[in-house]
Amino acid sequence: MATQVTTTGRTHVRKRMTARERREAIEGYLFLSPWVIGFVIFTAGPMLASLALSFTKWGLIDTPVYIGLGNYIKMANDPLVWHSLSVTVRYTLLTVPLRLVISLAIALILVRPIPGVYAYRGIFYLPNLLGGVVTALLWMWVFNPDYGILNYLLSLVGIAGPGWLNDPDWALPAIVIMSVWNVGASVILFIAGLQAIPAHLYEAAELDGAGGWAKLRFITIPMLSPTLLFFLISSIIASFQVFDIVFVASSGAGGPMRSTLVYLLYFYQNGFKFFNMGYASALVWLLMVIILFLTAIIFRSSGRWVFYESEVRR
Amino acid sequence: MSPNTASRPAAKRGPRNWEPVLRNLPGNIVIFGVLALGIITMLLPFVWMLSASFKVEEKILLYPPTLWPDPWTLENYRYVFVDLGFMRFVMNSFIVAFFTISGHVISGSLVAFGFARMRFPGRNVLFFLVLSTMMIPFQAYMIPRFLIMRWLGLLDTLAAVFLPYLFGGAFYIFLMRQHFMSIPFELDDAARIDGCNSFQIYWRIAMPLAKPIVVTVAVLEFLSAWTSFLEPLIYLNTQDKYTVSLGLSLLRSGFSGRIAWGPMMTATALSALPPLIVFLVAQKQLIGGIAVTGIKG
Repeated sequence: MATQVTTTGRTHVRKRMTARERREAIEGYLFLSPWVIGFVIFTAGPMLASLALSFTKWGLIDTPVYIGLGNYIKMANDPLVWHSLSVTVRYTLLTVPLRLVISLAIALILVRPIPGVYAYRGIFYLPNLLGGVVTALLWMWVFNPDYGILNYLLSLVGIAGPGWLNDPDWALPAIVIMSVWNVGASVILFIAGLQAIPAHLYEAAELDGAGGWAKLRFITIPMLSPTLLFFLISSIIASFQVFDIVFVASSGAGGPMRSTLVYLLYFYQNGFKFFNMGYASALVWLLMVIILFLTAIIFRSSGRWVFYESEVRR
Repeated sequence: MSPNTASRPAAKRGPRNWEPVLRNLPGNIVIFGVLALGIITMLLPFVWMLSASFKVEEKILLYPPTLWPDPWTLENYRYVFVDLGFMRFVMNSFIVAFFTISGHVISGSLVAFGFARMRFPGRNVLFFLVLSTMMIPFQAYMIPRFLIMRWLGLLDTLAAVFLPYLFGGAFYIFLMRQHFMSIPFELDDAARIDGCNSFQIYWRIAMPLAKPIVVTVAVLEFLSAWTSFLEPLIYLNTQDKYTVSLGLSLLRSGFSGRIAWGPMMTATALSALPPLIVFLVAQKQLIGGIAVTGIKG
């Protein structure tokens, strides 16, 4: 029914389009043309090509051979696919909650009018300017088990620090620490979300005798839930795509003992080290499906926990 | 008035008022403790990096570590500039950033203007398509893009790194479209009556009013181009084509299996400098953009 209305509506418009309107439409498409050209050549075309490649076996110098679902069957039996997925999931399960708690706590502090608050916000944002490569190099030096400052500081309080990036048990946590160091962008995001909460809600709650915890639980968190939804989706997607810091910290190997072999690193190795272009394309399509699936799950669950003020007003 | 959307209702400057802080002293000690710990965690790696860059090699490999270089040396800086040729990497990164910024500003603003100010069938569908490309991970089309660059003969050239961005990108198109939407439509009508065509309205009216958002786009894209790693990594092979992040990874792999920490920390410090300067100069434009992106970088 609804589609019918729009189709008839559209033909209606098309029939009545005056010369001026037609001219505006042509000009509109001309304005859009740079993006359309770029999209077709560099995004849509390549995506279809990579889907097609995922059904072939191709070593870059020979001719691609169609092998049907061969790559996908190979993936199901490839222990490194499962291993790298599990590393990525562990990384995500550590990074996202840590980043959430830390950035929310800092945002709750830095949203107050304390003296020097703008300087503090700037300081927390600094690491985000650097990108993965610099972050990884900087922290490799901090984590250095022999001369690094972290293990020295730990030794001052009587803790014998681990080998961090040299230790298969501690390398992934070290990567998590590096990446959570970039909390600044989420802090800014949460500050913006907190500033949008009307002050009268807190005033009303205080009149009703609500304490700090009650205000956090019953006003801040619900009012912030749209921001939280955005944070969750974007940070989970970003975590599944972690690459730069792991590549640099492990010299592209995902070591020690494959303990930091995240999914995209395995993809990269297949594509640009072993030149299994078909297999690598299949790997990336699995990641796309996983990301799409996770996003859909979060969105579907969001109806239960995300609160939009407009819903109440209606 | 310029319809800049960046201004916020919140006060521009934090009030220097200690009274509410002192009212709830125990709670605030906890808060300031957390804050101090956070700030130390943010800054200590920088200090530790700078300290290594000014140390002689024997002092770098010393336990217990010292923060203050003794003696101070510029040898690491000499090595990075002269022996490593770091300025070459810096130049290459600037070239890439110049072209990606130009592409996003010129193509992006045209597309954004089309979406914001022109009426044509399919506009909403196309805009939804633009937005949905933000969700697609780069790796999804990375291999065919590599093949396109190979086919064009652009492998191992900087052009391969910036070419796709000359056509604009979804996020910046979105930012600029929002801005163009806020310009009153009466201006367009008045200009049309005066005989302006659509392109003249874009160039003479919309763009001059869009300066703040263009600065935001330029700043965000500079930071993104400067730190970009994966694309230079797959396209560039010879060292004199390397961008800064690739040059850094060169030091990472070390020489004869051993990492030279002094030069590595020096190059790291130097490559952090341009983003820091941009941040200090354009903080206001940047924060407005970050509040939208949230998680970028």
